[in-house]
Amino acid sequence: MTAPAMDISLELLRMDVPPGPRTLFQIGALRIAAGEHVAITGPSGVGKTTLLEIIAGLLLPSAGRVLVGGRDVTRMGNRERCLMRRERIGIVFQRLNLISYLTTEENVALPLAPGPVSRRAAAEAMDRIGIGGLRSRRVADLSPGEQQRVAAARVLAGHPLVVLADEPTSSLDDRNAGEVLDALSEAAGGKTMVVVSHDPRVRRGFDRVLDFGSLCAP
Amino acid sequence: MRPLTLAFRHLTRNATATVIALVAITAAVACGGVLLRLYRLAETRFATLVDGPDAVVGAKAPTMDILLGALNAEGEPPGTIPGALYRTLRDRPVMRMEDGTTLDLSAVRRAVPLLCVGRIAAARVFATDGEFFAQSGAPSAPLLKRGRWFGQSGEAVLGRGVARALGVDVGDSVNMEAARAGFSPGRLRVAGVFTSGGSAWEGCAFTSLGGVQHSGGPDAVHYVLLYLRPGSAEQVARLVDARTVAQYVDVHKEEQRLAELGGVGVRFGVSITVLVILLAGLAVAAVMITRFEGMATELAVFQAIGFTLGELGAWLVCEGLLLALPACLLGAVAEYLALPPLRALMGSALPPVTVVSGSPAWSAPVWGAAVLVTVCAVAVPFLRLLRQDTPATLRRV
Repeated sequence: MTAPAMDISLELLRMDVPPGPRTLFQIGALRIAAGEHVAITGPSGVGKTTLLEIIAGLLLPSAGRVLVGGRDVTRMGNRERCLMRRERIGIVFQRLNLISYLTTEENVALPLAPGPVSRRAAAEAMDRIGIGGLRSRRVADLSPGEQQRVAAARVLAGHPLVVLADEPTSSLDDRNAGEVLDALSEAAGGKTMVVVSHDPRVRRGFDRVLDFGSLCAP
Repeated sequence: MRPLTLAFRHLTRNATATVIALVAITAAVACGGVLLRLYRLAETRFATLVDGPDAVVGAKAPTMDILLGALNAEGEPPGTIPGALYRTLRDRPVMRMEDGTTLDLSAVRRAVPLLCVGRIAAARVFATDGEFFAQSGAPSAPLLKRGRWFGQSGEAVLGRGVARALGVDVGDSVNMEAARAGFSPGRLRVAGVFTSGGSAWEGCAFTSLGGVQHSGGPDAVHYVLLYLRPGSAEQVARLVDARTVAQYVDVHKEEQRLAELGGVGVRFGVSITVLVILLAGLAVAAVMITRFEGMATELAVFQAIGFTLGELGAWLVCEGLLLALPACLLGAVAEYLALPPLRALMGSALPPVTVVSGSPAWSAPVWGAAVLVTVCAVAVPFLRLLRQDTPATLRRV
């Protein structure tokens, strides 16, 4: 039996950043239903990545609540947030954050518990995203597009309940971008997915496409 | 991925950085180990000093010369003292002086005469009498292993070291070179072989004082070793120093002075040991902290994908141990290779290899410090992780 998807709620969220501090953004309320696929678009530098990091528990907001599956991320301890990221949330980072000295397969299996089950899950994820033939190659030797796919496969292998992706198509051509988005959508089928991007190609196949500026409107 | 697997892959797939760290830690461990072992060897420089006599009576000379000459068989003996003084000390009389003073020598339990008469190869030959054999209970008391004590002129008992070095045994004859005019060179028949608790006497030969005197030698001795009753040395010292041509040397005081002068006093020794371990530890810590600091971005990535601080700490500890343990092994090998030439360079400042070989385990505190510091060095990146702004670090990738 697969685990249910989790909903995400942001309530009276405010993020201040130095110097000043100045308010980077304020979001009154946003609810993303369990299983919903949402794309948040907007120009660079407005705080899309920061929002994603707050949802993932990598950053704590200056004010407000972030509920993931009904649990307030802002009230969790560091360990609890780490475990939540590992067990429930898969993140595709803008800079991919792959470990250069590990092979493709090792990168994909990295967050998984060691053992044959995780090796199988990693192999399946790589096959699904079309990089099964690269499993013993070091990621440092791969092209940017291939690296992007490895990052996506790392997320998929963990069977997360929530998929967060930050500019997942930033270094891909149209064909590869489409394939990665399809793969992410397919893998996140039935799960909640939030993709932030300034790439206009990221619209197709999403339940909702939100403009970041409109989210922050008073 | 398990912390150990991750550590192993990180080390083996970043070979250049790993080799540099390994060499640096190995060098720190080897240098620390060599320093510690040289110090410990220096500490045993006088380990062969004969242990037992409470005082030595000899001719007027620096007290240290008398101590080392009589009890460590080194240096040229000072002038002689009259044989009569030895006999007085041996007979322990109560002496009434012309000025009415009474000196009670009953504090002397035993007096052993030593007269340096020559050499058999490099080994010193002392003439002595039956008192020498009668020493017992003292750590360096001679213990006959083979044959018998010399009984007549022309016989000698050899210390085990001499017998081994010359390859002779009971019944063989050895040539003695006379120490100076007045003593006759000649052949000595080996009557027995003795041990002496590893003391310098095992590197000496002993022959009959009576025999030497009968063949024209002087009625004199170089040293008289005194075994005294506890707390009763004062009257003996007063007699020797104030009323004879000889001087009284308190062995215990001189040994303490020797330790301080030789830099092997207890406090000094502890300081040196701590300093060497500290230096080795700091060198290893510097290497490890630099290495871990260079992993800040990587650690942020791991944290971002869900690794807990505990798992990251375990990874760093595993990596530290995977570096430190082989480095300790390599350091021990380097130390093993470097020590003999260094020891040879130090010459007589260190005891000869035949006397003190020096165990490799003497360097164990340095190895322990290296491993401990490696594990403790994990605290630095760990504390950094606690304060780290993970997203900001990731954006710098």
